[in-house]
Amino acid sequence: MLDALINALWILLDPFRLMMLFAGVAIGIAVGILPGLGGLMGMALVLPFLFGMDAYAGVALLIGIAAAVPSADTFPSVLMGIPGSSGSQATIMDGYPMAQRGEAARALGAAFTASLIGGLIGALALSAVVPFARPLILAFGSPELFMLTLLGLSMIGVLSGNRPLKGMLAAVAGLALGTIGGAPVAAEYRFAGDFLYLYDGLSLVIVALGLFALPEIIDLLARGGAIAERSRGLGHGWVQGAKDTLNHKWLVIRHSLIGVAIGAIPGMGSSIIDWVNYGIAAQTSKDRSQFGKGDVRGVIAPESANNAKEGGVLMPTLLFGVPGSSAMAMLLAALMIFGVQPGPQMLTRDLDLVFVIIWSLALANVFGTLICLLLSKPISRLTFIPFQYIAPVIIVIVVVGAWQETRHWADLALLLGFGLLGWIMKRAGMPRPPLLIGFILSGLAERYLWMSYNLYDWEWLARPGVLTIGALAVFLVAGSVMLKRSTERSAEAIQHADEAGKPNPREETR
Amino acid sequence: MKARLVAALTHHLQTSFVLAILACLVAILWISQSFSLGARLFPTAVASLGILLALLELGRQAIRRGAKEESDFSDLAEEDDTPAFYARGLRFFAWMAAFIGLFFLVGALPAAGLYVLGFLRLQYRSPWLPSLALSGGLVALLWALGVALQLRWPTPLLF
Repeated sequence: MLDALINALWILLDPFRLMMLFAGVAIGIAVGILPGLGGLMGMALVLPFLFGMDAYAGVALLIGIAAAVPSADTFPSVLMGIPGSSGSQATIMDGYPMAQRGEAARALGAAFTASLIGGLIGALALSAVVPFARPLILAFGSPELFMLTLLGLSMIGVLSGNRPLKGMLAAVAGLALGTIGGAPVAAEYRFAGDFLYLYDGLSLVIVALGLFALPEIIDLLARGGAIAERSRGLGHGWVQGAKDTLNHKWLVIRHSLIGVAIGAIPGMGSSIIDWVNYGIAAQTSKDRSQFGKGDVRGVIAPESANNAKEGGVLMPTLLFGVPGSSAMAMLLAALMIFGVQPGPQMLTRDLDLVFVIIWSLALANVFGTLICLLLSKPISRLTFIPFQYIAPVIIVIVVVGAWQETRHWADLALLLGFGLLGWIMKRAGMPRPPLLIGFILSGLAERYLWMSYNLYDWEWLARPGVLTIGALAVFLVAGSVMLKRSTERSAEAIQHADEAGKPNPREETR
Repeated sequence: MKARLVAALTHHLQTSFVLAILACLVAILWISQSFSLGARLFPTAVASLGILLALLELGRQAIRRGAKEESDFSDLAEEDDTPAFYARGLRFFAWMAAFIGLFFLVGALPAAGLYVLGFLRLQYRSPWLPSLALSGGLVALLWALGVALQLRWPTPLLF
């Protein structure tokens, strides 16, 4: 195991792979600072260009994007009071008031240092889990793996949107979309008619780009105006911010570990992690009077958790092949492009790749923090570029990327179709991540179901492992829904209290 | 009146969307019955579960008739559900469709240049200088990417 860890570091230190990791971090920072875009869109954008690329370089690029977004999304939260992504909403509560009193640099310094430490703790936790989880996971048979796939999918379906039923329906629609084309366990083509293009099934790149890249661009364009108005300057206090984080080292460690633990539950999402950590930090502090008014601890706690959660979401993704978040679904998609079968087999056949992912996560956090700290002034200016100058560039890259898939006219027709579908889903309040994840997991789930049925008939449903995972699924889904609802209620209460300029409601209840 | 119109539009959109999914799932269930067991098992299970969920969702919507529901996780700003917003969104889809048409007609690089220039000048009335600079810069970037990543472009239909 130690050999594989060291070997993976050497693999990643190849100049081209390091360059790709760095490019991923740069893309992650660019999409992270532009409110409305995010890691998912950044990953979807580069997906078409991974074909033919070395697998290690490709995953380094994707992990670079995923790891840099939670750091970069702090810029708009602190400078303008607009979340750069859903994972930086709570940072606004204290980061923005700090910026308003001229301490933006201090808030950003504290946030980036906390993000760096959180990200490293996340990577460390992930690498610690792999050796212990390996024997347990390798003991699973196809019925248990099928149940785990269903568990992950139902968690994401239930937790992604505001209505569990809609999320589940979207996940099932994704599974159904995945059945188009050649059947994995029989020599038959399904739902393709005489259209040869569909014999290989729908392209994952087209589905991902259509569902996630186009609707965001269209929405931002349709809303009109600039993304943000010009804010105050950064001010001073970078070193003070870093010192603040180091002075609150136990806060950073505690919230990083909470971030890892909640992140490991598929579907929990960045915003829940962000608010849960903000809430815990405020509840457990002796002096709560400054929370919501510019307390640096209100920046440190959610930011450390936000970066640490990437280690958590990679756990189900790498160990079970069940994506911990929608961004991780993109990583799974990329692994499939490289011919790597996600799931427990990765721990035997592709252990090097697993550790390359862990090293990439650790190094991307270091690179991301350094870039954010050293280039903060030009990076913060990027936020003020009118979106009409950014949108056509992204659209051209999306179309060119989609065309590279099979170079068939249907690629672009489907891109437009899925773009429209994604936009309508957004408008109809139907969450899109479960659809994509269902689509990605469809082939895998079908294989596991067929193997279970073939080996055990329907008796596989009574296996102890299957029953245990089934019970766990009910418990986890119910518990997570309750946690999500209570977090949303607390977040709303905090925001309303903040908007009304009243004291924090938690203060009043105590 | 306007609020009622918007509420009706949102409500009907989500209901008609679920109905469309339901129709697709019924078609999947129907068609898959002609496949062999190996090809039939999974689509049958998925479509049956989906039909059940779609009916439950329609029932839920019938009970909570007209209630405005928020969109998914990625919505960070105030939502705008006015008919004008939908019209603007569809106009930008039309711009995208026009670019795809140009992509096949005149080739990738000229289409990218023309699209960016046209989009900025006609849609936003941006000044010539930044529009030309962005358009030229993007064409240069695409050309460089094409060489570096050995990208292939469509054969233009017009030339």
